[in-house]
Amino acid sequence: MAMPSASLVSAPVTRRGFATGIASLALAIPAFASAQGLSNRPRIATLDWGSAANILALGIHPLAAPEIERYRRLMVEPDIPADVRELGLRSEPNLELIDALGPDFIIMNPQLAALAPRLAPIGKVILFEPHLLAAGLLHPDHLTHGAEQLEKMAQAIGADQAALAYVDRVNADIAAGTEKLARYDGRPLFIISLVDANRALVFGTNSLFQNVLDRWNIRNGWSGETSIFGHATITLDRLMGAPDARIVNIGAPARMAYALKARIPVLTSLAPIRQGRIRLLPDILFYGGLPCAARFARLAAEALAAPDLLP
Amino acid sequence: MITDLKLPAALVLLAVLSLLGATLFALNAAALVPVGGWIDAALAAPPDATRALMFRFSFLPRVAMALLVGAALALAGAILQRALRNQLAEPATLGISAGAHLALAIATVWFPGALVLGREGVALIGAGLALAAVMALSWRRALSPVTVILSGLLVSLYCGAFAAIITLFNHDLLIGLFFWGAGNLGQQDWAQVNFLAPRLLVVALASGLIIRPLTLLGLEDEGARSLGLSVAGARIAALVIAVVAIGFTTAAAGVFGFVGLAGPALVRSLGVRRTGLYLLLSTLVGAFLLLTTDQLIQLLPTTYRLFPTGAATALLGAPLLLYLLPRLRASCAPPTATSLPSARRARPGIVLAVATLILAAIFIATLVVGHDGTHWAASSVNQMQGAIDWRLPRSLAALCAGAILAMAGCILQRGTGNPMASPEILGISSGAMLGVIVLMFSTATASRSMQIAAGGAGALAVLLFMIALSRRSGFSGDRLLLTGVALSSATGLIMAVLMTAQDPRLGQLLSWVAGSTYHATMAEAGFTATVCLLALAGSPLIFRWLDLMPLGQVTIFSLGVPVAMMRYLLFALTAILTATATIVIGPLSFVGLMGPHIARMLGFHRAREQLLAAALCGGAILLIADWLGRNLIFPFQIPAGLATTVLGGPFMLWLIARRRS
Repeated sequence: MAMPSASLVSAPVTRRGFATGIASLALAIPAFASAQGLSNRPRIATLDWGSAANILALGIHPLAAPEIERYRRLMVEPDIPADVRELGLRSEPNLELIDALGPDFIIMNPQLAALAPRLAPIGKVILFEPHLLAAGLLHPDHLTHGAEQLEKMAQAIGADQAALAYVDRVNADIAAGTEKLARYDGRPLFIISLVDANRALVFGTNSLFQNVLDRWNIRNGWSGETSIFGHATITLDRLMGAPDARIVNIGAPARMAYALKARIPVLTSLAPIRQGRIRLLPDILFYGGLPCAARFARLAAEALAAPDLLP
Repeated sequence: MITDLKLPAALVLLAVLSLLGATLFALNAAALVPVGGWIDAALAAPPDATRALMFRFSFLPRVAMALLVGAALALAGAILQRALRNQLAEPATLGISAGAHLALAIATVWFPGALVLGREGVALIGAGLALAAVMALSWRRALSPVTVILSGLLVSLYCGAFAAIITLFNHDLLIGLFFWGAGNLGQQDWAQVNFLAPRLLVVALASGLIIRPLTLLGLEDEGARSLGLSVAGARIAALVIAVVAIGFTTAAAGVFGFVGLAGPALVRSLGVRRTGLYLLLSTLVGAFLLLTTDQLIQLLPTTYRLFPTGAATALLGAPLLLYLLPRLRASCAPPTATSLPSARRARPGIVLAVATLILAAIFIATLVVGHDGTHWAASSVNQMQGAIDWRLPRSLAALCAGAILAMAGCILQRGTGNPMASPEILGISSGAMLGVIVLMFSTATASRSMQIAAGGAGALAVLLFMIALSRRSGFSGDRLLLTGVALSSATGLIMAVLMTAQDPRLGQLLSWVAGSTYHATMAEAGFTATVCLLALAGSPLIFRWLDLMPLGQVTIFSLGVPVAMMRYLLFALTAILTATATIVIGPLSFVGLMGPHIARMLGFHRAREQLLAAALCGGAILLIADWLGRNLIFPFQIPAGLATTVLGGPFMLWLIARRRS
């Protein structure tokens, strides 16, 4: 069960403090700060998953991040340490708590820009968007953009070296995939995420995933229009366009496994499925910059290197 | 008996709709399989021929579903509108769809195993529970129309708010449910058609049996009784038939707003009165309306996004309804009571003064007391600065916006005589929402002032449109509300498309739409407070009008009041108040509906008392809801609009249930 929902249920228990007496915020905060074992590292609050993942990738523990349980389920890596404080929903990170934590830096996606003037008195606000949001670009380079933005952000918090090292590591990870897939049969890929028996999200040539496929010289089977984040919702019949393709399904592997087992007519009529050219990958976020690209590279290379299974 | 002079007009509408539907059907089918191959593909398709399989297992069942769903919902809507004598009665009104939706949301997030029962089973359980709640609440009032509608609306709001909270916290997991919630006709085989068709046939036969009682229910309850009708019995029969139709349809295909409202309204606007004919024509119009809409959607190049049919019905239905509304005559007697009777309170002035003092104390408490994740704590003196920085704008915005919306709701309910009237369904909120959505998708970094400007521009556009409409003769009261409903359906469509598109910006929008004070700054709170005080100070100017409104147009006119002018001014006032509150705290908060009802049920009947009491109630509810929302599951926050419904809903239900008949 997901954390936010769990806390809805367990709220009455944690409120026992009300009966035992009123402890002031003033006592609670310094105690918490010393528990963190503060070093000379920058104290950073991350207000969205992309920022949290990129900060963690630099080897820095953020003070706080939003929807941590959901992050562990959908983002998975980099692993988020247990002592990172929960900030609440990504759409409404708790301002009072951020103020109480008193971070030196507040890193957040430009979507939250409306908060910037109110957060500025607490700490230095850094807007961080690792995804290249440029409408009309058929083939944006999210990897280069993600690396540049990460280096820029790292510079602002004094972690330049860590950023350079991480960018190198990601490039090496993707290159390792090239080696692994040296004998790939060249079939184009449909990268999809099954929604229900009829529909899927499909990721196109302007997606983060495509940048990784480019390094491996693998074509995308989907050439239709997609959103600025590189995805589109389609009905499954639209995958007919490339019968020689292979399908990679991202997230909710149980759902795809069930759909295959139930032999839903339109889905199972597709040539790739009939011929067993399908791979199931766990959840990977499609707009979080280098950490997401690295996760995709590792999981996809491993899956694609394995032989097809007969249905 | 009134004769149906307008039958030809209705037949023309039907012919046009069905012709349009058939043409679009042919176009879409030909795109899939050449005309000559239709029969072969429909009867047998080889297992590797994707197009033929699509035609047989996806396209054809989808056509059948569109017809079935449209027919069932329009029939249910027609029955409900007759039985409850309210033009706004529709499948959503009784809480059936919302109950089914909530049950599915709960099952998806917490008990995925329950979905093994089948989506239909889970949805039917939810729909049944919702109906049981409505029946239980209105039982003691012998299922009078006002009570049933009010209970239904509350159950609907309540389920909706809970489902919205689940959505807000789990939207990453619920995309499948979004498709269903947006009215999804997509099929992968004939199973759902086979499920729905025989059940709806039974419903159709049953509704044939209640034509006479329905005709009588259209009269006043007293009149119907004197003609030998068991009013409660007939109404139960009608409700059950409608609910069964809605329950099965919702279970199979999801939530479709608008068809159930628009189908019957279109037929009525053409002047059809006779019950049997009215039911039949509504059913047919509903079926073809949905088919046409659905075929139209399939014709669109769906490379980018998939339009959910249910939400898109508004695209076709709304303009049609707007065009026909001025021709709409009230076909049944409106509900007599504008609200539920209750004893009048003695010495309202003193009670209101004491209530104001209590509210002030609560206001201070919301600033000082908070929860930090482990303890409840009162801020010490040196922490007050922080508390004031973060808590004061939110508490003040909640208090004043709540009061403003409740006053707007009070004016609307008195002015239209419709107990379901509320600023939230006026369309102004929808306008503000559209403005904010457009901004969100046209710029990556929207500052708060840009958001306010966009919301304000959207609200203003709708405001001017509505004022222009209200100046035209034929647009007043219920008709304006129907226009508002049509506009909200359009916003609903856009929200549904965004949800099903899994856009990463969705979370932001969901929070704002849910009625959150999160972004309120001190300047905005101050502005809201100013408007609230101005409204309170100016309210004595309209007390007399509000007291006169329920007396009816002729009486007021004979007292020398310029009726048209009065309507126009009252409406403009409501719209401005709604726009102010919406821009600051978002479009969803049902204080505008609840405030005036609670005030009346507490015994404040005259305009001056009701308006002030409603303002106090509305302010208090939103204030407390905001405070609880900020603290209950700290550091997570429940938007005040949702918390309001969860908090205020039971209070109103208790008031309804407590009353003696």
